[in-house]
Amino acid sequence: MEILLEVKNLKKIYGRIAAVNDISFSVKKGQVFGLLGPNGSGKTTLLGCLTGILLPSSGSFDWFGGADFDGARKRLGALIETPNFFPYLSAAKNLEIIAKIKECPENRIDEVLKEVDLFDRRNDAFKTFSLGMKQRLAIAAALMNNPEVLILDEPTNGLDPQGINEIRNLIIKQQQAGKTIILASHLLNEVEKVCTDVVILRKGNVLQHGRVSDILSGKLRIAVSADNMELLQSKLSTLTLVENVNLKDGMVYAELQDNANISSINKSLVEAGVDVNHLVQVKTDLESEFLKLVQK
Amino acid sequence: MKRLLTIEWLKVRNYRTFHVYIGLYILLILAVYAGFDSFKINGPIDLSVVYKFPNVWYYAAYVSTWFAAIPALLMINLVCNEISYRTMRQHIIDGMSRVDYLKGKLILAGAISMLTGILVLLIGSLFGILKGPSTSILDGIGEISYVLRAMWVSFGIMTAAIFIAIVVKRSALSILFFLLLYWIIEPIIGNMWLTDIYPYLPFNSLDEFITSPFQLKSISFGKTSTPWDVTLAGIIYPLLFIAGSYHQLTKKDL
Repeated sequence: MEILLEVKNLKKIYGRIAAVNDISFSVKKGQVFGLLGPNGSGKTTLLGCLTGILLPSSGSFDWFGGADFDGARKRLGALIETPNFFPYLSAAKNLEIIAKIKECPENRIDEVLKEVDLFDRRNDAFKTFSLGMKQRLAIAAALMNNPEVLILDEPTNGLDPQGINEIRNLIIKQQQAGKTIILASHLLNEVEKVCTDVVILRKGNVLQHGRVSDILSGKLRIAVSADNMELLQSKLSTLTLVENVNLKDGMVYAELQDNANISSINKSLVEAGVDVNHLVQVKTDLESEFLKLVQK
Repeated sequence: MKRLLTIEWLKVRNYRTFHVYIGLYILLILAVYAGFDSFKINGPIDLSVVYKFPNVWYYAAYVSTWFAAIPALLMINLVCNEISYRTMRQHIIDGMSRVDYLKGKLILAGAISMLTGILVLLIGSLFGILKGPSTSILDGIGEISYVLRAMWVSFGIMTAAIFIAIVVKRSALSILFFLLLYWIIEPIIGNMWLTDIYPYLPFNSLDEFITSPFQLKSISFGKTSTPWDVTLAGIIYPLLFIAGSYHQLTKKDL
């Protein structure tokens, strides 16, 4: 697959703090690439460098196989942090400026406004918009040039559930249209739902990098409950067949070692005198992987 | 260049503050110039020659410099707005180069200084024809250079304003710095403490492109000459402000 973005040993240092520390990865055509990490892990700083507003301290990156950076940015659509528009201009007039900057035809303005369902409000000033509408307008602006890569930084931040849903549907639509998407988020289920690949960041460092499906297909995980939960937890903890035993929401979770299976666990627990009333395999979700990584 | 000017125009077209500033600028220059011959002053100057060709453009240019702070404050307002709205960042993200961003602002400043020049040319010619003694417009047409001088002064002061806005970033602070420098620090404190280099300071050296008629030793026109090195300073400062803005924009995070 064609590599659209190649990041090599990128570093951004503020004083003594490395906000982005020696990060390398590449994004290929058609991927929905997640940048996952808690607040302050360097996601926005990284995207700031990749979109030209921050100057890297060292390292390099190449868009589209080393194209001129100013030209390359016109092939991107990016929404970093907040929607940024002139408050006194209408939605359509704001987009007119973007059309001139990105050098794309003006008939795109109505098209993208319809796409994000803001066509009826096109002549209203940006300052009269709700947060969700502002965010949709920012996505409309990002789509103006029919970008090859869409960069979204926390696109659902601060939105109500309906707004989150609208934005998520827009992302999925773009993904289905075959766009390459880079999505930064601290919301694990967001990344899990839409991304094909992920880089997990903490304090500017890459903790893990790979396909979401690979990170997900780690060890088998089980959820167990019994009449006596304390006994269950203590017995389970002594078993060599499992590790990472923890109690959450009235259920004991554990990870199976490679040589274990569910029936062998059940057998061991019964032998240990634990009356198991619930034992199922659960998906190793990104969240537990993520928390595990971040806690290290 | 046309594209950058169009972008700047789209930004200000529906911005009321822009129209108020430009409207005030034109009106105030017009009002003061129209009544300049009845200005009460002591001294050897006979202001009845204000509307006599070729003096007309000199006096119109001189009056325009009184209000040079208006377009400068407008530029501060526009640049700081774009920093606080984050549209400057967004436009860089969208593919505008940092140099193009600066070029856009300089082109807008150039357009406003062009407006100054046209205004000086028009009101000078108009009042000369309507109110002046019956001399030909062609008498001393060479003094039309004052139109260009007025343009350079207004452009130069705007480059200082753009530089201050890009460095300071905040609107209220930038305006305070600019006005203090322009009205207090350079003309008063500079004049008191830096007497030797005062003529070479930025705003004074720009002002010297159009020497005040109140400093003229006689009413005869065109006899004062600004030292060449002061003129040179007035040419160099705007270039330095542009270079400083370029450095700030291209070598720093936004």
